[in-house]
Amino acid sequence: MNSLDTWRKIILTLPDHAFFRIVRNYLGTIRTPFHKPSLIQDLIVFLRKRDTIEQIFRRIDEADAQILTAIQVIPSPVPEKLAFVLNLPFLKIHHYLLNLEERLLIYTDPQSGILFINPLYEEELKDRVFALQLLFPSEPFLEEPPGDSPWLTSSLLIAVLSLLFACPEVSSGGTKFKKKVASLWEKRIPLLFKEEKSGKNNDLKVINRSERLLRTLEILGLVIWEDTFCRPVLSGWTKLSECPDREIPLRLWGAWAVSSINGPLSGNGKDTSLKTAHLFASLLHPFLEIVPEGRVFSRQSLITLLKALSPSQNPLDSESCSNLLNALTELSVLLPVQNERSPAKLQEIFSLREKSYKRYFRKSEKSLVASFCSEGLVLSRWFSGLKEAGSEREGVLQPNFEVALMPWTPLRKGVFIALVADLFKFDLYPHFELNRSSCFRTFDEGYDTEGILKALEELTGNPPPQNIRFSIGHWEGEYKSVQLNAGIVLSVSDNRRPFLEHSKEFQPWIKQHLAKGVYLLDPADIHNWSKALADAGIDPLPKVHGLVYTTAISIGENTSDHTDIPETPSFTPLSLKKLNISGLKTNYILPPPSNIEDLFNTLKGLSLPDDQRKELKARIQRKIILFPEQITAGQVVHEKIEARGLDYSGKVRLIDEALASGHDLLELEFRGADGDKTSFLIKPTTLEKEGTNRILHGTRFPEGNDGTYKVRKLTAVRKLHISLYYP
Amino acid sequence: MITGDPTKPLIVQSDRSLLLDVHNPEADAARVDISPFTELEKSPEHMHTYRLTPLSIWNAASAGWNENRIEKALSKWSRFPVPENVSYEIGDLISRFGKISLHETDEDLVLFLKVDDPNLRSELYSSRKIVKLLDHTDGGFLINLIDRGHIKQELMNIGYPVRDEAPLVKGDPLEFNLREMTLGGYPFHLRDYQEEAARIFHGNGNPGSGFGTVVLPCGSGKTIIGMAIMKLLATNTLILSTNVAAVHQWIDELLDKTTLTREEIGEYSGTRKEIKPVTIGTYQVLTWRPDKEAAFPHFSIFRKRNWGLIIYDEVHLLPAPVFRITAEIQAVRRLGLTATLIREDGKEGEVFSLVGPKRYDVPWKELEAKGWIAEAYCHEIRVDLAESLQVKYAIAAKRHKHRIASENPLKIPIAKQLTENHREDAILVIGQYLNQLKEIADTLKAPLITGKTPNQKREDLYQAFREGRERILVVSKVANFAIDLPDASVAIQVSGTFGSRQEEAQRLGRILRPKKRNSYFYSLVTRYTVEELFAANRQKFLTEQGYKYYIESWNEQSNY
Repeated sequence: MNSLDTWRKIILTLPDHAFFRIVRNYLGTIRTPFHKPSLIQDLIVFLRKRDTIEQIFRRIDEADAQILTAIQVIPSPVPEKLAFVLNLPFLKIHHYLLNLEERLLIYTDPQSGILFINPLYEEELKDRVFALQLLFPSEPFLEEPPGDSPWLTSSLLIAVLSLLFACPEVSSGGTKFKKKVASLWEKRIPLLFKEEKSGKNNDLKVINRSERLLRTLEILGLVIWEDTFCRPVLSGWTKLSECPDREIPLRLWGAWAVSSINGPLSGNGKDTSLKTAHLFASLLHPFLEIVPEGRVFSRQSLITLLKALSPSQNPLDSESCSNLLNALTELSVLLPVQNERSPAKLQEIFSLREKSYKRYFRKSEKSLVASFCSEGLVLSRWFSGLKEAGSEREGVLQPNFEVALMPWTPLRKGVFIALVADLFKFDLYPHFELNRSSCFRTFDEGYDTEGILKALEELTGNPPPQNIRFSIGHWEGEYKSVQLNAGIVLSVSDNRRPFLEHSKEFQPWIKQHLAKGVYLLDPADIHNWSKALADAGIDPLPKVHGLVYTTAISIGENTSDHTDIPETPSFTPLSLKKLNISGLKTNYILPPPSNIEDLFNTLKGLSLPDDQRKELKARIQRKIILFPEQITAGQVVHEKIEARGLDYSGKVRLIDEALASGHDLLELEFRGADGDKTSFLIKPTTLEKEGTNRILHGTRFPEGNDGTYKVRKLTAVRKLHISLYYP
Repeated sequence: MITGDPTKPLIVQSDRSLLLDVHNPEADAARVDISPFTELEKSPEHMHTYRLTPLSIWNAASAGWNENRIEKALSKWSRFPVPENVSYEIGDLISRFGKISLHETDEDLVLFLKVDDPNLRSELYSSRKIVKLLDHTDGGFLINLIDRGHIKQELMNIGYPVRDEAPLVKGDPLEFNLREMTLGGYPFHLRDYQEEAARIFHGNGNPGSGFGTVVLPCGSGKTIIGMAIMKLLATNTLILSTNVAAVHQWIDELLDKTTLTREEIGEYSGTRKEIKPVTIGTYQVLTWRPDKEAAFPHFSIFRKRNWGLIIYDEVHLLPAPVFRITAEIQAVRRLGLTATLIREDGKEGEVFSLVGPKRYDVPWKELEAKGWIAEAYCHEIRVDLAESLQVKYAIAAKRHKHRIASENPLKIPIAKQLTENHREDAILVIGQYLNQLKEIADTLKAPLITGKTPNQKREDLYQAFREGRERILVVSKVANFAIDLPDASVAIQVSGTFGSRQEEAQRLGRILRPKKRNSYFYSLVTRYTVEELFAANRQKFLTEQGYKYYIESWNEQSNY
């Protein structure tokens, strides 16, 4: 369907009262009999005239442009979301939206409440009006960008994992690092220990980021704490490495943003943290795609962006957004910069006439300059990672048992290296060393020599050198020469042994045949092998020596309850919401002046009753009168939608009308004790009489809380539609 | 996305290490450019590791390099942008060079330590280690000549290199030339790297030159480099080496390849005490004293003549007492020669600050590729411990386990088999334990050389080996150091000290002299014993030099 047909369909959905009001306003008197499709056609012809388009567009000021851009950019925009993202009172947004509807720039789907741009004007709006600067202001950063790059990467993770495999006992109590371990980590991964200025005298202090990093990993389910041991959950790492490469740092950064509390996670705290981390990660993906390199954004600008991206059912408030920005700064994903600009230069870059920019910064021009200059954030130019053009190689294995990984080595392969080799030093190309103990722990995880060699060859593209092949094989031999098994040892005397050897029911439950008449059994299967033994005539069973019985274990009880194996975390796909920014330009251009002054002059020259003059003036101000021809006496129907001050009966009448319509809203205005005015919207439910007072009951819109209001106390009452497109 | 440039071979890491991808076509060109300001740390098969150290940067600064030039060289070859902290550190380190300089004064025994920065002067004066040696004067301090080395060492330790512009003593002159035809009748000329090493060391006699260390593999002709430098300096020279055999080797080489006469060369050893314009002595004699408290009577050798050059052969073995005297003779040009930077006692820093910084090195594999040293194949053969020794090993104290494992009798038939496999080769069997070596010598019917073998007999056997009259020699630790056996192409190591990398390098050096056949280095190791752990260290060292290392298991059916 083309835009014309779409628009035709939309205008047909307008309730009659709104439709005819619009037609009269733009086309003048409607002659009867009329034909609605013809009226629509006439309206379309009018709206598509070049002059009409020109006057419509010249009346789009920055505030309008900002809201229109927001509607275009934010997926499924509803008024509440716009108010939230733009940090404006809902009432204000509501007025703006009603005005944009009557100016035929937008329309509302009455079923979903979602706002849409008029398809007739969408392309022209893209060319002339929509501008990302209106929503997320930024300016070019012309200095040499700082060299810092995001430090929490898959590459670092691999290094940390290796350290945890080699030495999981990191704490002396709680989650605080042992001094010796901290020294080792500092030596191997100096990056985790950052010097920062702190305190009154700006003394340099070394901040240990490792503890918070472990918490981050705990949130993601990648490590668990067992007393002083922080143990990797290998299955979790495998799961994480199955996520798309691009998403992995986002998940880490999201979890880092949540990681600021102390103490191990447990219960609901764990779930909540993971959910929040997931939410942050989902936001970061489109966020980092939208924020271009080489531009400085204010914090507020980025908070607006995050709010625009946050889900409607669980929006991020300003504080959460701010925390996320802090985390991104800690991670060197965003870098604070000084961006000195003279006021004259800023004037050139931004239009400072409009209040919209002042909303982001401070109220005065001077402080506007100061605050923007001092609070800029720029995206780290390294944030996308490093990649050697055309390179397939992901690691180098040297005959001296050293393995060097590339910065782009996928996590999946890196996890294996972390297991099979000890971290030597973390850097751009981290270095690891294969050794006997690292290979032993790899054998513990079920790998054999062939598996290790295959994985190494896959990583490096070359078969491992002979001395390494030999050494790993040799170590495997050593490993297998000693075995430790957990279980219950059953020993039977020679005279009863034949009963077991010939028992088909018992054979499957033998974990290992240790010696003649000696079998290793799994305690978890006690139910099954006990039965098999009973069938073989070995019944009742004696007590297991050395085992502490916490519950009675008897035949028939299923005790296969393993609680010591950590749960494998799952990584649900990130719900990647995108903003519709394709094709949008960055900078806003002020439109040329419109003919509004001429219209006021025309109106001045006409002889009209006061109420009509007032109505026409309001329409000019509301920008729905585009040409002098629309200023025609007799066409104006003044509908009273506001009652103020002592007009008690007027207020009551409006309330009754709103109640009768079933859809209309009421804007109530109060004057507080301090003399300040407060206004808000309600959906009226009832108007009751209480003595001489009328008591209005209604529900705050859109918040939903019920309220009761004395009509006498209201300074003003205004009747408003929810939308022109609601019946 | 930031991408790296795969056409460039260098990766600069934030810890100041540089990885050189040797498979990159530009690797050689990059190596030439970065060598003046870096140190080669290791050179295994695929990636060589260099490092920017304070010493290497100051070295470069003394040769006229500045921060921009170093940055330019790094940026030219670096695959990724050079880390900011590295750029900063280079600038910082280079800026320290020249802040302190040493100059002569009117008095022979006094030098002027120039320090322009008053804050730095205060810092130095507050250093407890050197304050007693400093005498305040305008613009710096006066120091005694005898403290020159000590002060330079301490200042280096606190991060301030000294630009030593005090002239070195010329020494009494001694003119001679290198022969074009040796006395043995062979054409002789310096190889390119030998000329380069000598030229770099000499530095045209400019201030800041004339002292330092040359690091090259065994068999690459360090003795020749020593001679080339002697010729350039044309001055009385004292040469210190590790043992008498080495002393004789020097004498033979000097006579064979230079126009020096026998009367101009003196031997200072246990048996002879000659002081001549060129005198060659041993560390052993130098550090002899009648008891622990007595002075070292032979230290006077340093003052017996007006030496213009002192050569420390195998400088990594410089005994600790010699450090002290080395500190006192900083006015004399001094050259250290060695194959390995590493000292097991970790005192490389002292050696290099007292003798001088490393002036020249080349990866072993590069010399091998050019044919200057032989291509060597390293094999480790693992054998089970003899059953008869298993219980003894199991219950032995830790310090005895190594000996039991090393003296595993099952190594002997392997050694025998290997000698039979190499019937055409000249073979050295090297070990540590004399009983074992004796048994091997008896089995192989080969002569045994130990520390107790009289010098003359030792020399005769070496000669016989050179001439092919003896195909196999069984040798103890004495073979580690500085003997010249050009025709050895197989070395079988049956035991060694605890993973000494230095020893490994020396032993490999015995077979690295270029010859018509490839060289083989076998190391016999008893499986599942402590010997394996120590062998691993040695293996690491050799692979870091770029050698391929093969490990095999020996069993009865093994086919060698």
